[in-house]
Amino acid sequence: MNKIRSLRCLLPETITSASTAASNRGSDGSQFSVLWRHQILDPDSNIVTYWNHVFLITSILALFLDPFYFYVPYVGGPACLSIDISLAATVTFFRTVADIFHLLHIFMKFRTAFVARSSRVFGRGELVMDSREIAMRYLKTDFLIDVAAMLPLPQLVIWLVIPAATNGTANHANSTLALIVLVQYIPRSFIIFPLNQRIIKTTGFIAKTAWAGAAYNLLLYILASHVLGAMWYLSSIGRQFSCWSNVCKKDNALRVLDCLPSFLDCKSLEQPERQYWQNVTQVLSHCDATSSTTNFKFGMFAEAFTTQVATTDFVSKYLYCLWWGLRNLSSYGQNITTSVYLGETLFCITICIFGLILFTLLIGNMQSSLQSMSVRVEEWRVKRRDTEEWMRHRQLPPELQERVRRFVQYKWLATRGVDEESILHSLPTDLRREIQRHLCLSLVRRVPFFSQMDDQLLDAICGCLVSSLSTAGTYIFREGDPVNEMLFVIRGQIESSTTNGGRSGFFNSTTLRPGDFCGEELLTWALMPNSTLNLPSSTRSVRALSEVEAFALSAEDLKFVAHQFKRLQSKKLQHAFRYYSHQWRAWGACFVQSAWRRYKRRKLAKELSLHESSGYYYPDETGYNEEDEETREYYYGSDEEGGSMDNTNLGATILASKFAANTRRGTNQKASSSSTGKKDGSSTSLKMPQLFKPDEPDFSIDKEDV
Amino acid sequence: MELRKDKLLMFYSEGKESKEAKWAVNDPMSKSYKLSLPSALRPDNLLPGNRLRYTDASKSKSSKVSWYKTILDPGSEIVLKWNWVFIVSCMVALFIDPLYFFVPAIGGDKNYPCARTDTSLSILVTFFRTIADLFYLLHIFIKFRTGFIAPNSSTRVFGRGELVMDPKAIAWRYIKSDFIIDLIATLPLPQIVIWFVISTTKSYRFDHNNNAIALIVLLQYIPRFYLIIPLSSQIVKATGVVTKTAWAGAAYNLLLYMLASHVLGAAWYILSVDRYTSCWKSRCNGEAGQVNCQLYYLDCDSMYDNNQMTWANVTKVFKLCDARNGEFKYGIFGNAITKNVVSSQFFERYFYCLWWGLQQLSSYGQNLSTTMFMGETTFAVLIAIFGLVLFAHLIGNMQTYLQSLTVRLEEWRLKKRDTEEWMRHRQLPEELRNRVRRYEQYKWLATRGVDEEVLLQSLPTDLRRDIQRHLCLDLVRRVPFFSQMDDQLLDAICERLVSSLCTEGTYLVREGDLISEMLFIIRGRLESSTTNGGRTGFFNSIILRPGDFCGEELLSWALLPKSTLNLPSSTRTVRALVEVEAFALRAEDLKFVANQFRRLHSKKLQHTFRFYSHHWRTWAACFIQAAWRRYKRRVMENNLTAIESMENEEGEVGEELVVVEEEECVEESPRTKMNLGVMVLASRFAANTRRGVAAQRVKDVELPRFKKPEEPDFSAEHDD
Repeated sequence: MNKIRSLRCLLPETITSASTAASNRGSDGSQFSVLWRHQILDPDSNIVTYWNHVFLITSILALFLDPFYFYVPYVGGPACLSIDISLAATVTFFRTVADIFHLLHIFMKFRTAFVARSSRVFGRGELVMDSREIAMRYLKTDFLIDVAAMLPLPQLVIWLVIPAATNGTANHANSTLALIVLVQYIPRSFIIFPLNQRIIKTTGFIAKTAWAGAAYNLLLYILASHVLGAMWYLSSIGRQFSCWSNVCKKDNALRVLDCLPSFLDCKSLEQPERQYWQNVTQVLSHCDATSSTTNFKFGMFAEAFTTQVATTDFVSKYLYCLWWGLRNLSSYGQNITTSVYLGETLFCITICIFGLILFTLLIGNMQSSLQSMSVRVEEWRVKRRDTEEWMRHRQLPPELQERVRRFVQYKWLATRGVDEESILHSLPTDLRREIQRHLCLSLVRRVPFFSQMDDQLLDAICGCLVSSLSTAGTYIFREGDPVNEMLFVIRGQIESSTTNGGRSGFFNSTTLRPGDFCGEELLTWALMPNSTLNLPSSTRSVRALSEVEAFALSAEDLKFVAHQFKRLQSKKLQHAFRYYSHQWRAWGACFVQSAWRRYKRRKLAKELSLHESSGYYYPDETGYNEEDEETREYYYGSDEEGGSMDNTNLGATILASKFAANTRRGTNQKASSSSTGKKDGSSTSLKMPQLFKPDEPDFSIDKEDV
Repeated sequence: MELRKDKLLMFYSEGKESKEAKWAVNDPMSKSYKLSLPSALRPDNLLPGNRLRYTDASKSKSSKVSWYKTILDPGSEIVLKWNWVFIVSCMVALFIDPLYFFVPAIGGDKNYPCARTDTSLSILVTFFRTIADLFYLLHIFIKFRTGFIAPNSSTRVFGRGELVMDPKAIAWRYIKSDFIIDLIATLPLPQIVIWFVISTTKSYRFDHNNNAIALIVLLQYIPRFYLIIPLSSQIVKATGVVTKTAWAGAAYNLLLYMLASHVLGAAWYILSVDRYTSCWKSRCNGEAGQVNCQLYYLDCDSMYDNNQMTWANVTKVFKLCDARNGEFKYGIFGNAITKNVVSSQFFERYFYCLWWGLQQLSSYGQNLSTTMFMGETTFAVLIAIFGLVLFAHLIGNMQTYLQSLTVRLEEWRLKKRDTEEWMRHRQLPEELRNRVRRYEQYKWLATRGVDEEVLLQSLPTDLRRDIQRHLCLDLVRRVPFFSQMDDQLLDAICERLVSSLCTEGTYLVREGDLISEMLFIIRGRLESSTTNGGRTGFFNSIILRPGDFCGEELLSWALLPKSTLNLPSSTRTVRALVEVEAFALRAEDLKFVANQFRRLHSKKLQHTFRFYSHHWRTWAACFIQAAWRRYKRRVMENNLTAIESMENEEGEVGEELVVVEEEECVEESPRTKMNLGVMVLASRFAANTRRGVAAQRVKDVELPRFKKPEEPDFSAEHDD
């Protein structure tokens, strides 16, 4: 295998530009994969994982099934044992079905690949697909245990016991059967541990939910109770039989009666020798567990006879034994009253030790499962308590505390305590981009500024966008602060206002709605050819009117995108930026208002000059000079704007007309307010404060090349 | 301290003659130092002194002295192993000691029981206890030969601290601190009492000595149990944990639980025997009748003379002391008497008492119904307290071990649940969810929930480099591009390589996207295709296999002399066909390696890069196709020219074509300067691409021009 792989590495790859060659190779690969899929399986594939789960369930069912063989013998009459053949046949049938699963498991192990140890240095490792190596490895490791667990030993003993029952060795056969079942129980239990390990190794957990894990542990507990109850029942039958055997030997020793071993089998009840022996012997009085005068010490096994467990029907017998096992396992055998018999004492010690171990395991696993269910809620509760304690410790004012509580509550509703960044960061680049495209793209396209960009640019921007949450009343920017991010509003409303650098008498306020953006000074800064580290200062104060959800683009991300993608520098984006920028809109509104005031002032001066004589010549000249100065100052800007406007195409004209239509209402309101101000004092209106033209982002590509 | 330092200096300066130096260092050095002789005279004194003593002492004595005087480091391997061996022997000794409680037993028959001693059991227990005592003695000896950390604050401020190796200081410190407890634990007190008892035969002494044995064993049990606590803390201090695996820790705690049950059962047994015999004694002393009762009548070793037999016939002591019908109240000890525990064989006695202890300890003694006897009530209180403490301790430790076993699994389950909940909360489409689940599954299989970066960052630089060399170097050498580099360059690259996992169907990079890393494929297959910038009619697709690399535009960018921040755009779209495991070299790491190591600028690497770059192969394939089409067009025009020789305009067009061909030939002239290796590579390349060229159909339509890829600047002079 290694030689073939090394040869492939040495050979250079050919360029497969021909479609016919590609189609041939594809079909050949598919045929080979079909053949491969039928022969050798991947240990981490879905089919092997599914089979592991199925086999785990059947193994546990088989462990539940085997102790039913212990209920086959029962007391069928006075001083005799009998065999429940129908129960034996039923259990044998189900056990054979379980053995078929074990056989299939061995077959699957011969067809499952394994990871070569030397290739585990990097990544997941390479699979060994050679059938001979797989078989050799399996034979060296787990094959013997699997065969020992698979052998149908109880079935063989049952079919041998039924014809041998005529010999009168029923108890001997029962003991052999119990011993074989107990001995085979060990490899069958042992199989479950590597199976658990294999499932955990493949998927990371046994049970998907915490409750399933807790139920699984409880099921193991009940299984142990079931096994323990069955052993108690069988040991009780054994003690009763040994008492009968002792009395039988005593009768033979005293030579009073002839007691044959077959007398203790219920098949000999009708024989006359057996009936005579039963009438004369004292076995019933000596071996009666319900009587207090008996000499034989039954100890903990007397309960099986005082409650008629050994002679009742199967369902009642089984449920009582299960209850006995569950009771003594959960109380570590503290209710048991034993005799000094060595086997009985050892059995009780085993019950106590297993009870301690299983109880401790159950509590530990239950606690682990319950803890994992509520770990996020507990983390959040601890975090809230820490926040409250810290706010009390720092003596924050109640208004600030209320704002912090509102934000924490809002963050829980938005994220449910899950750290979104860490989840995204652990995924590969392509998946991360797909997820961020799903999360951001439909929302980002609502922002008109982004609708001008192409998909590749939008993917890069979606990768950098971070969600930003602000509660009502929060100041996102204040006038004069450095702008470190650009916000694109998705939900909520934002108030954006400016005083033009703190100038008295000037105030402009707009409401930003979903689709708008703020912090546009950052785009101007990002497109500068000289990369300065100083962030621009904000010309507006931005405050959240309601709970705002927005996407934030940080300064370094914006600079990175601006440098990487030359397509960001285009006239189309320039016009869209001017159109949707509220800063430019404010400047446009001021420009229109100044032009209108200049027009009205010129008209008034003209009318006055018509009606007045030469006596007022000096004041008219002064007003004309002022008007001329203002006209010259704005004419300079108008020239520049006009020059650039001449070069725009038809799209710009459409945008300009749309812009004019949208700002008509604002202009009317400003005109009415300005007329009111004019009535109060004409000197103030004459000295109109001038709004500076905002810096235009450099969209030209030529300067970048220089 | 100065004297010690001088001795140490003398010891280390003569390394080869360490034995002789040790032998001589006590007498002549101290004397010479006290007399303050000049240093020139010291060798003269040492040499004859060594010779004289060497001739006097035999070889065996010198070897014994050297072994005897060896000082051990408390953190060394041999002391740690001895601590383990000693703690195991302490546990075994704690298990053996309560077996002395089973030595007294009840003999005789039902009508005339008597007190007896199980001599064979006492001999056996004494033998095993003597072996355990030898371990305690050896422990004391080793403590006299183990150094300790000087308690000065100046030595322990940094690092581990300095060792004190002086035998006198070690002995003095040990005698002041732990010697008394070790001595009490070592004393063979039960052995002395047992051998003293065997010589006596009188019953009243026998009873007294039984109580003496029990009292002595119980009293010595306290220092023996106390020894385990500092021993466990020493092991924890040296290695961090007592047991290496969690299951061994759980078994250790269960073993302590069983030991407590064993001690409790044995104590219950000997108290039962004591209650039984004390009833006999009180009735015997109070009996006044025709025949007086002597205490030795209750001993199984008595003479059985006529007076004793007469007394046995008329006495009522045993009837009054019967546990079922008698007047005496046995309380919690009645079970031992009614069930004949005290008169059974040893194994039956032992296992029943173990079961009794286990039962009462795990149920906190709630089945006990006591009398008003104060000793019995105190015993029951102790059972309840110890039961509560041990049970809570067992559950707590079991839970700690279980959680340490499953902490990684629980973290993974939590992360998976968080991811599922977050995907549902954000309403990702089902196709994206399945891709995320498949990637998480693949990541679990590759890493098993362990963060490799965190593990590597916590190691020192040299270990980290060696580990990354082990992880990367054999795989990196499979990539032909790296096989041309030397070891130092490969080490630098291995340190910066990051493993990258891609599931099926993942787009690693799309045409036009920024390339941020260069991938070297280790396992899996990738499909790399290009449309030459979205041009219609052009499509090229190849399969990348283990040993190939993609993102080679990044190498051109890294070797540029001007360090521009703009990352290059990808000219190809790369998609994973199956699960891919690759090494990624990030852009900043590649630029760092290119700037630091000038050896990356070489013509050999340039030719290897051209040979293995699929970008260059694609260009070469297009170049060959264009040349072939040009040749076919020239042949066809020659035929047409031969047929139509009278038209002059076509002749002019032919001349223009000839001029264009000459220009292209001029462009190709620098390639003739390449050496023989390049020609061999080129011929191999041409042979491999012959099939691809042959499969191309002849098209009369003009082929769109494919731009020559930008060549990385491998020249070293340009950087200078």
